[in-house]
Amino acid sequence: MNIKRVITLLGFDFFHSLLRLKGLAFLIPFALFWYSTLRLLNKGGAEFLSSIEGLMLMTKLSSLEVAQALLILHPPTLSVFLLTALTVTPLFVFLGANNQLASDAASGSLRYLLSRCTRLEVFISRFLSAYFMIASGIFFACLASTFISLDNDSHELYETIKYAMQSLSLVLLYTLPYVAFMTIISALMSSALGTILMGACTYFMTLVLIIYLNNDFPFVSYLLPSAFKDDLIGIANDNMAIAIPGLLATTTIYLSIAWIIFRKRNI
Amino acid sequence: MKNKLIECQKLTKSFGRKNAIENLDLSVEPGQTLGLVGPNGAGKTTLFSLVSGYLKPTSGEIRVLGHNPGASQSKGRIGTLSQDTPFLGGISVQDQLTLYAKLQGYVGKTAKAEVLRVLEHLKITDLANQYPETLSFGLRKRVAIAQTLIGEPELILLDEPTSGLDPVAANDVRNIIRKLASQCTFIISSHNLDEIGDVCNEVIIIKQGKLVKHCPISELVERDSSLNLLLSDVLSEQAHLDLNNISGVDDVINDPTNPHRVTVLFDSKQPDQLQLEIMSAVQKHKLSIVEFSRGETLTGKVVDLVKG
Repeated sequence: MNIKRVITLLGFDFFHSLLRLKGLAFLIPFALFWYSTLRLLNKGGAEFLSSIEGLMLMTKLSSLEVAQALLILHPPTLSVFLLTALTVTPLFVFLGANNQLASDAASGSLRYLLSRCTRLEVFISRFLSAYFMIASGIFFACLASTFISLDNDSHELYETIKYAMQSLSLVLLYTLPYVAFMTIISALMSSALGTILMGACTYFMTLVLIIYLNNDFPFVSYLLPSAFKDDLIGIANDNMAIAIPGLLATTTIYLSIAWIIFRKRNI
Repeated sequence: MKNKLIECQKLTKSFGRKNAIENLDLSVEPGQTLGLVGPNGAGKTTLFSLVSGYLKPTSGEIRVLGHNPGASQSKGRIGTLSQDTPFLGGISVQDQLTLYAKLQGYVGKTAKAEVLRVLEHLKITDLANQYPETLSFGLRKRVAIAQTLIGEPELILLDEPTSGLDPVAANDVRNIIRKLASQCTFIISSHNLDEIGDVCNEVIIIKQGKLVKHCPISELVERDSSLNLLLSDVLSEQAHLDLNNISGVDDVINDPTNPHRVTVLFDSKQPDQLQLEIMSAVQKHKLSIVEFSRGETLTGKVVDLVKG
């Protein structure tokens, strides 16, 4: 693999994605969603969650310890960012990573690239380009959350920035396997819309399967990266020791499957 | 497999149960201009796609420039023109071609200069800032041909390079091929056999995915011992017989694609005299000669080989 060619392809695809439907279909809904969410937080949403009523509400979703850790020990605005970002990751990845390979492979647009670079270089660059586009959106959402947190929450500057970086890293890590999941679907399909529909169908069918089989076969929950979500929210070191390698392993497995499909695909 | 530009051994490509290419053995030496011909569905585009690495063989082996077509070492050394000229939408011609130049190792201003060079070759520098989807098919094809020339590749594969082009542009493309033929190897797939006969020195004929013939064109068509006639009407049986009876005439062949066209094969030390005799025999039967040329046509030979 020629790294220079990968970087050239990555830069080109990333830059042009931002100006084309491919990127705008993700960026516009993403920006609107985070604008309205962060506006709520700025108006005291996080402050409410760190009150007794908010904590009571949070304990309905997780344990009291986790709720306390998220809303009292850490800046609540950033915790809301973390929880929200982890929850909406699949949706926004469907929008942002759907057209890595699908329509260009089907239309033949990849042909002129394949005279000049290998399939692996195209594959890696398209995966990274989709990931970096989503990651840059998440970065700006986290940056805005940090400013709101510094303005509204009563935590120290150092602590807030440290927690913001930690939250950002976790969301970015959690996004990786989802983008790889969409790489599989994109390597199979022939259009961006088809990839979104097939990706969503496959994801929700797998979720149903997990819910149905989870009691008898607990390991099936690891078919999707969401199995590691609770470990990430816990923000405890022992949880991270499972979540980080788990998410990286899931990404590797998904990417390997996608590569097996793409390397044999007729273009 | 050393020193061969393309080497195929028992190459097979199937789509479902249908073999588009079947047990094809082919070897191409550098420095040639080859025509790839055959009827529709013969497997020409499939063969191009296998050579370019767009398709993976079902079985057999293919080596291009000494490597697997997907190998990193052969990238940038092959220029390919696809039949349907697929460019990325929403990105200008200049940006796309500059990307291709950068992928072939050009950096910064040299990449832009290389793009300008190939656009000038095709006389389309004014298209640089336009989007491919706004161009007509013919102009898009010229841009697509321009991209094959980036970086002066060793092997250029052109699938129907002049279809959809106006006569002037088509002639420009043929001139470019002639001009560059000494520097690289061209393989041209086309149904326009006059064009193949004009610019190529070798021909590969395939039918139903199998190799029918691979030889120099000069070996396939005799340039000096035949006459091609396009007549005002169909040649009658009597006229056919009279032509055959002329001393020195070996055979009279009706063109299966056009009943008004006949080829007269002869063997004579005085071909010009014989030519006059043939023409007067035709006129005796009240047929006028609409078109006349000396030498066998590639079309006739290819049709014979493909039909046979």
